[in-house]
Formats: sequence, structure tokens, C-alpha cells
Amino acid sequence: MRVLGFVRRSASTPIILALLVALVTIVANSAGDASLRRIVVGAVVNMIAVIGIYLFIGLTGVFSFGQLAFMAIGAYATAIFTVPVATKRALFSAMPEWLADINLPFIPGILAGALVAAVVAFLLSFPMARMQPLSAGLATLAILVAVYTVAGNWTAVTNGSKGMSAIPTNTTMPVALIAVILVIIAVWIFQQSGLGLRIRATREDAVAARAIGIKVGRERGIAFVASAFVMGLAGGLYAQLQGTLSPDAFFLNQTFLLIAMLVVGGLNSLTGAVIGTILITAFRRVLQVIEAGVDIGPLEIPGRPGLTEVGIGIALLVVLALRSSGLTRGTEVSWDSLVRFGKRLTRRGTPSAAPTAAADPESVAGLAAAERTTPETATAEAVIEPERTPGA
Amino acid sequence: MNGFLQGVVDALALGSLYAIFALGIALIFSVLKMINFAHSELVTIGAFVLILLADVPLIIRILILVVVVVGAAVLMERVAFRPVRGAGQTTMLITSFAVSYLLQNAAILIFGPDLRSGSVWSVLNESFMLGPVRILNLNALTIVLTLVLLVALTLFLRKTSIGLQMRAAAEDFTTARLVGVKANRIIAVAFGISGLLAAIASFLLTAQTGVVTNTIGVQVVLMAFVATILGGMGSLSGAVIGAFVLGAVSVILQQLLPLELRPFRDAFLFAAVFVVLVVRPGGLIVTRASRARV
Amino acid sequence: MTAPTTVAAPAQTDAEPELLLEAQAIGVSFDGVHALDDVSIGIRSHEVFGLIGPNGAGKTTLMNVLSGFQRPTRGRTLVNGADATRWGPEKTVRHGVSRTFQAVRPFPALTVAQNVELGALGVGTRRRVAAERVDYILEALHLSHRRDDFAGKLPHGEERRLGIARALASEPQVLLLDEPAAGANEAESDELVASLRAIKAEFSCSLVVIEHDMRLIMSICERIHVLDYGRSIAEGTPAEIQANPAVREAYLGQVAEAGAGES
Repeated sequence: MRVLGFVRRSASTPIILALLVALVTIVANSAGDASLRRIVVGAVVNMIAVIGIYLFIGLTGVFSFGQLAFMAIGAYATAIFTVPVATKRALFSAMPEWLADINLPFIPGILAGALVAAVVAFLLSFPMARMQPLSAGLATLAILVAVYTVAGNWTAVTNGSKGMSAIPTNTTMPVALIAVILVIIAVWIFQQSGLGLRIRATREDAVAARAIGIKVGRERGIAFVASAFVMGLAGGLYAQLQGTLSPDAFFLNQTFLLIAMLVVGGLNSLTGAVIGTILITAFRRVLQVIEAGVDIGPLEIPGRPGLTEVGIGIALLVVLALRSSGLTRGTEVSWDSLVRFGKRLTRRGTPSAAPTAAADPESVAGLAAAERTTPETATAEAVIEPERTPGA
Repeated sequence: MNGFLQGVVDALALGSLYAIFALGIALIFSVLKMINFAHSELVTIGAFVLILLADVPLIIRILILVVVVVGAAVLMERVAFRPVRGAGQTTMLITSFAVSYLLQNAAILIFGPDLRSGSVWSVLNESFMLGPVRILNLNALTIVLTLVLLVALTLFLRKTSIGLQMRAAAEDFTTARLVGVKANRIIAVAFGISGLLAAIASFLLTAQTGVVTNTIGVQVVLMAFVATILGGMGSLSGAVIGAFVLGAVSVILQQLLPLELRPFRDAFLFAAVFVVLVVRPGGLIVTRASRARV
Repeated sequence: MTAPTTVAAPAQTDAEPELLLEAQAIGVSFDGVHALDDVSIGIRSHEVFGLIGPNGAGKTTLMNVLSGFQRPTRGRTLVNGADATRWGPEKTVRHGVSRTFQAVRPFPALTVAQNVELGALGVGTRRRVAAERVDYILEALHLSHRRDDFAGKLPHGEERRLGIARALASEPQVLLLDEPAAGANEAESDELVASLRAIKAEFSCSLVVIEHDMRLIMSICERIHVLDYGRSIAEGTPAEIQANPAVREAYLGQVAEAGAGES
């Protein structure tokens, strides 16, 4: 019983999210052909990256354009660590001996790649901590451009604009799924910890946070490094999914796509990161099909390149204008919020007058807040019924 | 010595180009506290106008250019930025990023992904000798235009009523509103001017490259961001100084860096910016409005 | 900079009680304007100390100096005898000087309980200990029924109590309250007086109260310090302050003698 109570109070969010991701992944995977399956695995890897971005932007409230730089670092490092020595000698003749001699198996290779990304972020976090939030956000743009330039030109290590190839491809669907679930659980534990709370406090009000002793720069730095590690992980998985790498995969376009996913779902919640990824991925897939040209009975729509990106751009602008805190409005899905939503569905119009006795801060908070204000504040509803108009 | 003078002219020309871009960004930032990523797409729109209408007489082409780009800038503010104005800096930043991405890809959707080329004004690609230094007409025009723009903008901000209101708004929008400054009007005018600057920038840039792609504006605008940050966000004079510093550093790096390191020039530049932000988090010129208050 | 061994004693009385928090000859200038000029105060243990003065007198600036947010241009601050002038707010609160804000500044998207818990976590308290403290403090400030609500949704009166609760969670020796009764009606103000008395007793800390509500100040404070145009003009018991002509002038003279007292 106690275990169940704990799960309901403190662990329902990651369990629900993990189940959701597993369900969507498995359904999409079994419904489609080989090319769709590859897209699904790619989407799971994207989700890890979106969660990585959330870990910094979402928890600290400091904007960053540069988190994909760490995905790039993780990807290249993993590639270098895992391409067989003989292949490296043959393909990348300019690579220094000691680097070419490194060879790691899949999982250690990915973890080592993520670690490299985290170390770079750690070094950068000290100067970052000195900056005002807006400057820091732009400084991250400088990091992105610098990493992009280096990746495109440092032939000895990255093979320059030709990119890396012959990377072993171990990122299968089960691997990606297990990875994303582990990341969801780890990030949940992180954000519920005392450290996670302190980081979120700096987001809410940096001045008030300082007044109660929180070292704002330090906490932001920790979130930055944690984010870089997860980004690096996503990068490593990406390298092992594609088998090839080029710097363009980690530049402004991809940055935009992943940020769009996070913002549509809701910048300030893990639920937002997960749901935003699922929604935008599905939407993008639909647009891509249309872009390739479709015949609907007599109606023939010719293919148009650029349509997908324009569609996603418009979707993001609409969400920003109508609901800038995203579909989840910064709240997390939880067992209680789902139960409440279920009750609401069955008894339409009669607001539940009996709040549960559970003491879970997150979920009950969502519940209470929703009852006092407009109904759309509730997580589950926000997710499932975004079109409902606000109550007066 | 001649090499040095040549370098100075190159640096001035590059700095001037950056300055025209940076001014447009700094102007919007000063009133709205928003980095307008989509400034590069205003430039792209201008470039398309110039190249697509290559057969139209130059004067008319320039007229159309200005009308279209200024119109696009004002429209952009009305449609995309006004709805999110109250939603906080992050939301505005993401919105401008989204507008930029949307327009970049709309260009592909409308004009296709291929590069288009055309001549803007062939006279600009000729050059003349000033003493020992060879100066490209385009570079001379860039430098002169920048000077004219600086003077005009300064006069506008200091002498006209709307310019004064704009400065008041940049200092402290809340107070400015209390004394009767109309936010919508000020912001619309700021976007109009940034559109004008973008039109001029697109003219100079397209005359230089002779081609247009959907991302023609991006690289220079990235540099202009750097210039604005370097100069201190929100300070117009800071943006101009930042632009010239950046132009000079670019030219110097290009000359001094060993050949094998030249491809990394941008990486060095951005690393340098990072260092500046560490040493002076507020940029070279710190404005009163950018200081944090408890 | 200075050796902490020399406990500074600017006052002459031999029976001077030990001071928890001191400001010595504090001066603060913004762009050449003196916000504070040569202001000295000392907070004793277990006292309620009032800080009053007309608008713009420098009360909040002094509070910012005491809490480490504002580094003074001249003078120094001492916490338990140690020079705290350069500590900044993070270290100051760790040494037992906690503050509230006039605008409360809660963490709106976190729950009431999390807000208070952070008050303890911020100064390095262990999670388990912090959780226990939360229950106790919420009880004391009559916020238990709100513990799982978002702080951003509280009505104003409860929001102000939350600000105090969060500041108390660091278990301060001195609690600085910046206009705790701002916007409160008479009944709420009375309630607040009762709360503050209870806090002083239960949490055994000194209170420094900035307030415009004279009724509140006079009924709760043991000593009152009066600022005007950034200078100290009086210090004493409520009765002394009420009788003080300079204080009367500062408050009334603003209207009566506009233009005369510019300096």
C-alpha cells in the first residue's frame, strides 16, 4: 500500500510519460514500414534532445540557442570513440594517432561522448554564470556558431565538411526507447530533488532566490552541465542511428525544430517536452507527406519543398500568440490530474467538490489551481482538449 | 604601408555593412527588448526584390525595395510581435526566431530552393584609385551611406518629437507611457526604420554577392548580433562601435591568421565575443536601462 | 578586511547589549545622489526594531544594504561582529539575516510548501530537516490549508504571510520585513501584529520592520529609527519618537513647508 501511495504521489508523472512514449513508439513502429520505423527511432532520439534542452531552458528560464552544440560534441565524440580503429585509419587519415587508437563499445562510447559534452559545458558554465540571462542566451548562440565552424573545418578530427561516416549503427528502437525512459526518470528525480527545486526557484525569481541563499549562477551552471550531458547522449545515439555525421545536423534548422517541440508542449515542464515532441513529430510527418505531393480523390496537390518548415513555423507562432506557455502551461501530468480529468469527462459540468486527501504537491496543486481559475489550467485537459475556450 | 591602408579601407567597409545591420537590430532591441532574428529575412526579402526585378530601372527598383521591405517590417510587428508583446522576453525571442525560420522557408516554398543571380548595379563593382589605395565603388558607397545614416538617425532621435519619444521609450517604457508616449506608434515607427535599414543593407549585400538565396541575410545578421552584444545591448552608438570593432577584427584575423586557421575565423570571433561578455557582461557600453534593479 | 575580533562599539554605554546586526556610518550614492548618508543602526537580540520615514527617505535602500543586496559606498555592515559589507545576500542570509520583499516575490509556479522549503534549502539545510520545518512554519503562519496551492494563486494577504514564512525557514536571528502590512486593511494589520509577536516569541529572532502603518509600528516596536532624506533624524522608544519635534516636522513639514527644507 505504501509503495502504491508513493508511486501515486511522487512517481506517477515519469511512469505516465514513460508509458505514453512506449505506447506511441510501439504503435507507430508496428504500423509503418522500414522508413517509418527509422523516423520513429529518430523521433525518440529527438525527444531525448528536447528533454536535454528543457533541462536548461525549462528549469532555469534562461534561454539558449546553443544546446545543440553539445549534441554535436556528443555525436562527434561518440563517432570518434566507436568507429573501429582500422576504419578510422583508412577513412580519416588526418586523425591524430592517439585519437584514432581509441575504440570503445557502444554504450561506453555514448556515455564517454556525453561526458565530453558535459566537460565542455562545465568549462563554459563559469563565464556563463557571470552573464545576465539575455546575454547568456546570446552567448550560447556564439557557442553554437563556434562549434559549427569547428566541426565543419577541423578536418583532422571531424573530417570537416565531408563529415564522419562508417559509424556503427547500434541505436535500434529498443535501445532508444530504454534510453528515453531512463532519461525521463532521471530528469524527474533531478527536478524534484532539493537541487532541482533550487534551480527552479532561480527561474521563478532570481532576486528572491538570492535572498534565501541560493547561488543563482552556480545553480544555473549545474543545469547547464546536466543539460549538456543529456544533449551529448542524444548526439551519441544520433550518430549511432545515422551512421554518418555532418555539421549541418546540429545547426540553426535543427535547433529551431527542437525548440519548437519544447515550446509547443510547454517550456517549463517535462510533460511539455515529451508531448511537444510527439505532437510536432506527428504534425511534421503529415506535412512531409503533403509536401511530397498527394492525391485526394480528384484533388491533386503538387509537392512543394519548404511546406513542412512553413507549417511548423506557423504552428509555433500560433501557439506563441494564443498560449505562450505551451499546451501544458508548465504543469506536469500526474495520476491525480488524469483521474480528475476522467471524472470531469464522466460528469460534465459538475466540478468535483471533493478534493482528494492525497498530499502530492504537484498534482494536487494542479487540481486546486484548476478549480479556482479557468478549467484549462489542468494538465490533462490542457493536453487533450487544448481547444476549449477559457471560462469567464 | 599600402597594404595597411588597404586593410583600413576594407575594415571600414566591412564595419559599415555590419553597422547598418546592427543598427536595425539595436533599434528594435532598444524599444522592445527583443532580439529580432527576422531582421535577416527583411534583408532576404529586399534581395529577392532586387534580383527578381533586375529588368526594372534602378530608381524604381529602389523605390519598390524600400516600400516592400519597410512594409514587411511593419507588418511583421503587427502580425507576429504585437500579440506576444506582454508575454516576456523569452517568448518574444522565440517568436522572432520562428518568424525568421518561417520566412526563410516560405522563400523556398515560393521561389524554390535554387540560387538566383542577377546584377544590381554594375557601376558598383568597378573601382577607383584614391592615392595608392584601390577602392571598390561599392565599398565607398557603403561607407558613405553608413555615415549619412548615422547622421540622419542621430538627428531624427534628437530633433524630432517621435525620435525623442523613442529615446524615452528606450530608457524606460513604463514611465514613457505615463507621460503620453504611445507604445504602438513608437514600436511601429521603430520597425519602419529598421525596415529602411534592412532595405539599404539588402541593396549593399546583393550588389556585393550578385546572388540571392533564402539565407542570404543570416550570416551577416549573426555578425550584427555579435556587434550589438559587443557594443552593449540597446545602445545604438554601442552597436555602431561594436560593428566597426568587429569589422576591424575580422579583417585583422583574415590577414594575420595562418592559412590553415583561416577557416576558423568565425570561431575565433565568436570566442572573442564570449570573452568580452565575461569581462564586461553588459557589453562595451552599458546603458542605464540595461542595469539590473532590485 | 578588518579583523573580526574587534567588536565594534560605536555607542558609549557600558551596558550596551550584544548587537546581532549593525550598520556603521552607511552612505549610499546613486549617480551622485545620496540615498543614504552616515546612517548607523544596531539590532539587539530579541527586539522589534522599527524603521520609518517619509517616502524616499532611504528605508528600502538601508534594508538592501543590511541584507547584502546593495553594497554601500561608505561605511560597513557587521553580522555578529563580523564584517559583512562584501558578503552579498547569499552569504548574509546564511549567517542569520533574512529578509522579505515589499512585493513579496514568491516563486509563483511552485507550491506554498515548496516556497517555504526553499527558504530552508537555500541556506543548505538538509531535505528531511527542511520538510519538518515547513510543517511547523506553515502552521505558525496559518498557511497549512494552502500548502499544495501554487504560490502565484494566493490572495494578497496570504501571499504576504508566505513571504514571511519563506524568510523564516532559514531560521534567521534577524528577520528584515519590508512593509509587511502594505495594502492590508485594519483588521489584517491587527492580525499581522499578532503574527509578528508570535513569530518573535516562537522563533526567537529579532525583527526589523519597515512600515508606513504608524499604528502597527507604534504597537509592536521597542525601538524606532527615523530616516529623512537619507539621514538619521531620531531613534528611540515609540513614546519618544511620537514626542520628537524633528519627526513631526519630517512627516508634517512635507506638506506645510514645501520648498523650505530642500537639503
